[in-house]
Amino acid sequence: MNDVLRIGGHELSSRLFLGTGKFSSNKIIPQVVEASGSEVVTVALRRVDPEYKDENIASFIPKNCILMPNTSGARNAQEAIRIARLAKAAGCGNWIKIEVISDNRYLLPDNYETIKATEVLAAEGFVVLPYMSPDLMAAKHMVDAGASAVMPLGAPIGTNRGLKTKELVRILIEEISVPIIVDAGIGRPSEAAEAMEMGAAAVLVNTAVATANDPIAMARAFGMAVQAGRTAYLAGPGATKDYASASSPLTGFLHE
Amino acid sequence: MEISINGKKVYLESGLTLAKYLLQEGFNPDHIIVEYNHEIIRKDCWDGIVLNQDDNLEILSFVGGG
Amino acid sequence: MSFINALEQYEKFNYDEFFARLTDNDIQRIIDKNRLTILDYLALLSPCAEKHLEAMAQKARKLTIQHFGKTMLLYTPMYLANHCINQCLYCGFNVKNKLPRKKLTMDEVDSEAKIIADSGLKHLLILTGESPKESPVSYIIDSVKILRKHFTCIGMEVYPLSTEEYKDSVEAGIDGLTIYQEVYDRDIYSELHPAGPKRDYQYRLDAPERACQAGVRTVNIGALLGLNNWRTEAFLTGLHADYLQQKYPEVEVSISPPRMRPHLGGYPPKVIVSDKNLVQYIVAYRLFMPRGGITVSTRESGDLRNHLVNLGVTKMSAGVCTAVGGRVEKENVGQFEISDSRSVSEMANMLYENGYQPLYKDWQVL
Repeated sequence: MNDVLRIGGHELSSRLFLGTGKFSSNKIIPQVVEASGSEVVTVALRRVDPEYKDENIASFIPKNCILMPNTSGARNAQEAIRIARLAKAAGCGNWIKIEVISDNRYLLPDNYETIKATEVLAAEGFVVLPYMSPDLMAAKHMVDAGASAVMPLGAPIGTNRGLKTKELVRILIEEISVPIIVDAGIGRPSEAAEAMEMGAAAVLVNTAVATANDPIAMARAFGMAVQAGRTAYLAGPGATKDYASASSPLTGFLHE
Repeated sequence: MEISINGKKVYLESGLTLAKYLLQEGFNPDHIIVEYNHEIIRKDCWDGIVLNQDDNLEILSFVGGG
Repeated sequence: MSFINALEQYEKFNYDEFFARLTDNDIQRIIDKNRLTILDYLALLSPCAEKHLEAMAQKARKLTIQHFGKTMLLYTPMYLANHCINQCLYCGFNVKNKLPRKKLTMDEVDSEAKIIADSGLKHLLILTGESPKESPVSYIIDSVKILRKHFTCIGMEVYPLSTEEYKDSVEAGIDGLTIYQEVYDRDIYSELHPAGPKRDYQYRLDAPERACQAGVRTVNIGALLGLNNWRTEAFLTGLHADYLQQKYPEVEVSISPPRMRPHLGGYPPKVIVSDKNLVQYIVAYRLFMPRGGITVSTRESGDLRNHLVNLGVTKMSAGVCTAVGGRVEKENVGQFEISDSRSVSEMANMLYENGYQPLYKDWQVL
């Protein structure tokens, strides 16, 4: 069976998106990406540090991957839009992960500003993937604004706490017409599998891989977990029966 | 003259073009994005820009991120 | 985008083939799912699912209590006028039928309203036939202005209106629209509506959507059971409800599964829909739409309605009369014969005996 994820005119066979932050060294990234099987890799845009002016993350990312810059650092829609335009000018395609955060304690995204940025950037031809707090109406507004996928958080960024927002993400999966990609909070492969079994279109993982003792092995484990979860979702889990129906108290009258 | 580069004041000799400045500082042109006075400047236009007093330059590049 | 686009996707759908492929295992798995797809719903309407009716009923009851509590909203219809220029073969008000035609004066609206309000009901559904001359929108609006003094919720079940007319109605105090497509099958639809404005299939189909755009709080849709294969009609009603609920999340979308009743004109049902079929439709819909309203009128017998209280129905009519001004003048001819003639207090007693609370007032605009 040909099970591909279609986003922004691309057909992806891997449903694991990989972030490139927090690795002990960029040199390990090519092996991590390869082990994970990821085809979409996120990067951030920053002022050049004079000390490392010749090191470019892009050169560590395999050429067949889609580069998805994020707008991290943006505190409102205007800043996110500016970062997105700069990233596009750098010539790395038209995918953008919108991330607007003005809360420094929990690093929770600002859905309202994110919707505004989505609308502007989608109109400019970007393939927009907004990172968000799972909220049904906000997700609908993002889709109306032109989002190609919606990326609810499983738990606050970098916490590795797992799928804490499960019930809300489940509602997005049921109600939203574009792919739902669980971003942030996934700490273990089992949690990635859980999201995929539930029907998430993909998961985005960064900290859990980057901070593992062996990032390459962890990347491979996440790749396998995502595949396992997806396969289980497609297979349709069997019924768990929670009632007995020996007698017919409710419909017995039909046979009288 | 004094210009602002990535938020810091820097003293430069006058008459320098953007292309020449980036070259002399050792930036790899393929790895950076340059915003000159809040406008994104394509690589092939760097040569035509002469830096002036109070200009604002942002030099950005991609780094790891999730 | 109109619902007709969604409908067209199923125009050539092979229902028999779909039903033939279903297994007991499929049905069991669907019953246990939290969220059903539209094809899961269709599977529950299949002949195969009949064997699982009790399990479906148990789940339907659980979901209904979970989302609505042990309550039943009571309402009653009020016929304002029976003048009609349509020729719906299955309707007692067909222009060709000989019956006294009448419309209530504003004084009569007020007296009939008082009688109903005295029974304790706060929910009213007003009905007219389609007659631009006798019961134009302005007449309906004038009536609503009087009725507002007596009722907190007024729904209307009249011919399809334009968006502007729905807006005017909402402004006058209408908060719900009931409109049945009658039959979703287009060929049967044109056969049953040989003349009159009701021949326009799509204008009627899009009416609930126009009402949503005009700001009504509730829409109630349905197919008249007996005009076509009930399984496909029940499916397409669910498809329609799902379309509206997706697109207008702020609106409360509900359905009715009305079965044909004897009426003046005597057009017989094409298909007999049994009690068992009706129960299957209701519980399947409940599993598909856990929060969706289901309305059952006095077309059904008191005995059956007593059982349906436990199976997913959320709204029932009581103290019903389908004749214009029939509460004042008892001998007037109705649209169809009712089957459950219990008064509001008799219905309330039955509900209390079943452990349910009758609701007379759902909500009120402040």
